[in-house]
Amino acid sequence: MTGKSRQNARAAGPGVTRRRVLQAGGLGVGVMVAGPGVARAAATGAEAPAKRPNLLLILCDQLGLDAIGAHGCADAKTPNLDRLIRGGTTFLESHSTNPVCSPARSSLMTGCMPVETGVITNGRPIHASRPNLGQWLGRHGYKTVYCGKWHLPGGYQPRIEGFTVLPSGAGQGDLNDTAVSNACAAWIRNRPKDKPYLMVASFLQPHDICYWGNARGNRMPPDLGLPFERLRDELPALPPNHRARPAAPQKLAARACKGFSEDMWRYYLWVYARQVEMLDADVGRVLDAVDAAGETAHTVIAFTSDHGDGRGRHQHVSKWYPYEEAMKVPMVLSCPGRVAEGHRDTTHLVCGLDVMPTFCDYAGVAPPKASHGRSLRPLLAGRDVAWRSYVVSEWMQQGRMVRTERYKYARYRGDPVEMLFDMKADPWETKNLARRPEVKAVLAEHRAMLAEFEGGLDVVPPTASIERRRKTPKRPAKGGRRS
Amino acid sequence: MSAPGNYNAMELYPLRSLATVLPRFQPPRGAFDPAGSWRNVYGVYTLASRTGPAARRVGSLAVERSAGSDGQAAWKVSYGKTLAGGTQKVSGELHGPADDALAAPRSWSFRIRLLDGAGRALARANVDGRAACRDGEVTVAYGAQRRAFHVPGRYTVNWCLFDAVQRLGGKGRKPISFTLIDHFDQPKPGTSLAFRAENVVAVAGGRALRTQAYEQLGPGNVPWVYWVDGRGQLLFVVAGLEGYVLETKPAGGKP
Repeated sequence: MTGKSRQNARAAGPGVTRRRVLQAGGLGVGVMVAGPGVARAAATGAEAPAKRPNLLLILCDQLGLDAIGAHGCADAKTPNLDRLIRGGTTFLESHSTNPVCSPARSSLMTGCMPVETGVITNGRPIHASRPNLGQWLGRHGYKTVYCGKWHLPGGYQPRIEGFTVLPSGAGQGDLNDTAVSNACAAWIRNRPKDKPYLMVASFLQPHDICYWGNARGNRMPPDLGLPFERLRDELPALPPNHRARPAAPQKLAARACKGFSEDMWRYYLWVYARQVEMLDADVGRVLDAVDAAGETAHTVIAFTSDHGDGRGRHQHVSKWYPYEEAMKVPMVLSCPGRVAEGHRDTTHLVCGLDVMPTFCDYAGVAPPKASHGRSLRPLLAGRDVAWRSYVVSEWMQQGRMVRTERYKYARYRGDPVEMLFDMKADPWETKNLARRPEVKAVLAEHRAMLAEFEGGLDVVPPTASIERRRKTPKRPAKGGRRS
Repeated sequence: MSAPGNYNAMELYPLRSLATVLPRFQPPRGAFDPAGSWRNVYGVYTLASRTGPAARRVGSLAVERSAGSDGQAAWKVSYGKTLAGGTQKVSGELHGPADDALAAPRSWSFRIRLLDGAGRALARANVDGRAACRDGEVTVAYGAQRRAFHVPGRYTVNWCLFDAVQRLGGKGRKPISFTLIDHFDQPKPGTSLAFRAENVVAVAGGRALRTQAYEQLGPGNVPWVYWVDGRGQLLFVVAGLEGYVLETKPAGGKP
């Protein structure tokens, strides 16, 4: 790829090759050939400043895409998320850029991959060269407010660059999220109406499940069994791939959660569902406030999560690995009149990089230069545009994953075992095809995609971590074997 | 019944989360009438640790009950939590019949204030709510904003359970199903409260304290377990990563 064509591909988003850009141009889709900036916003019909909508990002932590009622989950009742989904567009091929809290959040806030924000592990601030949503939209006339978990670097911070912060942060999600929803709802009711707002309502649930999954913690001591006998008839079933342990790189193979009985696993799933419901109640409080303020049709609401949770799939708890349970996250947008209602997008590959450019697009503002996600706005308006052919995720500095429409390819740095799953034939990821001769060409193609993606990264040095200060890793390589 | 110090025993689950607090806990003394007027103050703890038992105090909760001569009761709730760069203060006043097993209020009001690091209230984050239940319909008003929801059958507000469990009567109590109105305004139908176990809990000085435990299960919440002493006073509550411990006067010391 030439320098010029790489520029084009970057502007269009990862996975959109020069060939696809030209194809898009050939189809008369101007957005694909426009560079990032006002021109692109104009091409998608950006709002005139006076009509710019409010932007509300509702962010949660550890919520898998299919842990919501409207996405097929029978274990949790989520009436508020369901109504958001029914009233908007939900992307069912939505991926975390990194199934770890801080790195994923850095992408959501900047439109850059974690190696481009300096946030390669938890507890690091975003690199100074990468403006966050608040800084960017604040400069362009938005009132910007943040409440809840930040984790860039501190979990809860009294000050965040670019935002007015509503204080929060007592304990975990169960003690804290209600304070967040009340503060956000009150602010929406009482806000000054002189300019549009960007609000981030950042909930912690269902992240509390992390403290059930760790055997050293207090909630799941060895041999716990089922601690509430009355729940026996209510426990969710184990997932179909609970016992699946496909050939995997060493670090992934070692991640299985040992020592849970079947009752414990099912109790874990029951607890997770309750935490999802706690989140749902707090989301509902914020949605009600938007409705009550009469601003539903003037507020673009995006709902997503930083990453998912193992939920017993592949005997996993938590995240930090490339399986769907950790990687797939909800991406729901809603705004009557602006966003197609009741639409389930099952084809377009989207990811956390896309929040920044989407919000910028609705605000009529060019996204920051370094941001290389794609605005979802054309898709939300029901327009047929050429789209990226793959998304890439990374996790810590351990590995990277390429997801195409049909396949998932993943590898860990320094480990010869590669992973390739046919996501159409094997959506539960039970058979690693990487060593099969018949997929040789597929494997090569996905390796090439990853190399292409890595070649386009604008890596910055890791920022200083407030966690594990003595273990600050060296600057990551741009690509290649380091992943 | 498990040995007093065995917080790992299934029947004591999940009291192990308070294992660093309980050895310092001084049981309250003197008479206590759960059906009368009283004020209980609790330390609020976050119980999140991946490396072992730990409990960190992040605030306090006061629940006060005033029993009137007219068969009515009033409850005052005062709740404060320390935040990153501020404080959240929640207060509520609730009114209802004194003899309701769930201490269900008929009307209530609540205020939430968010204070910054200097103690100044952030006016735009103020919540002032009023609610009432009539004929199975709860209406909550926040200034001009109103919302209503149906509560089929029994209901109560979560903080009122800190009273109700003190008067449930122990082992013979059958499970009660109800709609929980969480945090004054979040309806969670299908909640139930039931007797769990009689426990002996080891507290300060190795003393063995006899307790009765009740469990609250239902949608929208992880299990809540309440431990009540032989006089009927609620001592400990554990709900996932959230814990409450009655604050008492140290033996021979000042409050």
